[in-house]
Amino acid sequence: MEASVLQGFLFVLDPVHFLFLFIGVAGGIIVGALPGLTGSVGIILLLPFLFYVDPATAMVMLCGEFCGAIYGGSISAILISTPGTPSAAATLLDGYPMSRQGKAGQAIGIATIASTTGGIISTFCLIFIAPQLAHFALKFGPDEYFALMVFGLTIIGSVSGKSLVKGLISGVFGLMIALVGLDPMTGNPRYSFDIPNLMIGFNLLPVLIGLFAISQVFVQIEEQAKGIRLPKQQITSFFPGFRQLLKLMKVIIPASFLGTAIGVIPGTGGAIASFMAYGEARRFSKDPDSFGKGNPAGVAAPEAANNGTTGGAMVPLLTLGIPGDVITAVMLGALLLIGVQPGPLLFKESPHIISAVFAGLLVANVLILVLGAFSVRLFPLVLRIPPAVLFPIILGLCFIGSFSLANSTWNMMIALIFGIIGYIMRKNGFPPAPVILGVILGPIAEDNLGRAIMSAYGDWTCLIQSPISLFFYAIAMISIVYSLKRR
Amino acid sequence: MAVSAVFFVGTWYFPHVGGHVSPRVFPRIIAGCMFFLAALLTGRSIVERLRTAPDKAPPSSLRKTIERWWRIVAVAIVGFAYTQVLDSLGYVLATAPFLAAMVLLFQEKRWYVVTAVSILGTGLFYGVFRMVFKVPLPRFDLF
Repeated sequence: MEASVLQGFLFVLDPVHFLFLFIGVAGGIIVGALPGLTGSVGIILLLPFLFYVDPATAMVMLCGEFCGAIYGGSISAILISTPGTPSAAATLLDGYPMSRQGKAGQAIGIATIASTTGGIISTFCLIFIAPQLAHFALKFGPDEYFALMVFGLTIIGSVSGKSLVKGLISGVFGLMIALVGLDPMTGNPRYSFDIPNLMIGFNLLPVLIGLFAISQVFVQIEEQAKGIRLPKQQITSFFPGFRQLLKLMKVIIPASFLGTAIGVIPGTGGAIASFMAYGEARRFSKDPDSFGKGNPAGVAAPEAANNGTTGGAMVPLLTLGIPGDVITAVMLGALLLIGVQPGPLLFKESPHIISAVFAGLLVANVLILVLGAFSVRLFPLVLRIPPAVLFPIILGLCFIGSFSLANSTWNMMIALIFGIIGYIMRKNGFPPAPVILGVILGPIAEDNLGRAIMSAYGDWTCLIQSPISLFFYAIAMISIVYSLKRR
Repeated sequence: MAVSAVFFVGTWYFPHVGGHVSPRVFPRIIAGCMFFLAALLTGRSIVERLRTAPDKAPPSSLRKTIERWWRIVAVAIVGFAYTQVLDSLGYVLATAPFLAAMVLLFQEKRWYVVTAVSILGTGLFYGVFRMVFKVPLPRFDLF
């Protein structure tokens, strides 16, 4: 274990790999901080570049982007009362009041230290839990994998937003998109309408770019027409005092473990973790009434928890190949695009990638602290990038990125079409995240279903014979009931 | 519901293959799920509409609605045009006007900002994709 993490550090600290990690973290902080861009959009904007680096470097860059984006969300939450990412929603409850009291720098300092601590604690948990779980998951057969994918698809319920039915429709729409192309068992074309480009199905990259990034540009142009303007903020100090920091550690450390534990559970994510940590911090506080009025613990707890989910969410992603939330769902798509199939075999066949991820996450969290400390005065400037400059560049990047996949304008067209579909979905309350789950998990589920039935000579009861399968069906049911009860 | 029906009917045209799992099975399950969910959503929408009183909020002005929508439609049309002319015009001649049009659609009226984003954006993508990643971007004969 120690040797593998050490190997990972040697890889990550290589100047070229470190540069990619740095770009990932800095890019993640920027997209996380900018309202209208989330961590998932940030990962999608990185995708066209990932094809040109080796898988381990790409993974390191993605980890940096993930951690950076989760942290970056707190900056706009504190400075302009607009969470850059959903997981920073709890941070603004006390972060923005601190900012209005002239303590914006201190609030960002607390958020930075809490995020770094949460991220490092969760990465250590990942290092200890993931190999054990992956070792166990190696025993899975196709029937158990099918059950696991069924469970993975129930995560749709938790990323569905307000309407579960609309979320499920989005997920099934994703499954339909995945059906276009060749049948995995027989190789027969399905829904390709004799169009040669459709014979291989939709490429994941333009679908992701369209649904998440281009549709966001459409949303932003509408917001522009409505005339939304961001307020301005000034930053003076950064680090809190040593005594205050020690006091806050009593909140940060438990919140980090809470965030990690919640992150491990697929379908939860940073938003739930941060609100739970905020609630617990308030419950155990000697002065609960000060929460919501600029209590530093109200910034520290959610930030430690939401960055705590980063390592936690990587556990099911890396060991079982199922995403924990929206960002890890997009990350799963990104990994498949660069030829990395997450799952237990990854630990066996590509241990260098796993060790790079472990070390990459640790270094990324330290980089958050360093970047936070040195660039705190630049954050208000980042928030003032005019949308008229930012979004045309993003749209251009989306199109050229789609083109670069196969040097063909077909993928640009697909990205545009899915951008329009994504925009229509968003406007009508259909979340785009479940589409991605359907597109990614659907083919894996179908492939394993076919293999399971074939290996059982057509006996469909094989799907419910294994205790592991039954376990996954049971937690899938619990996940559905939980999603229903939460509403 | 129409989409699920089309998907279901589409499975009839898949070749019948012997064996334990036909290529028709999974698409039919998915089409069935979509039909059920769409029917559920339709039913719920009808019930909700019957329960709630008609919306008395004043309708947004036609001018504002058109102003909001024409930008979105224009972005889609300019994007579509860009995908169509990229191969024939080449990267530089297609991308610079595309970016300029996008900046204008985002209501930026200062000519120097429009020009700067158009030229710098085109140069930036060219530098990253063509020079660093060696992506063969489409070329016009003169470029």
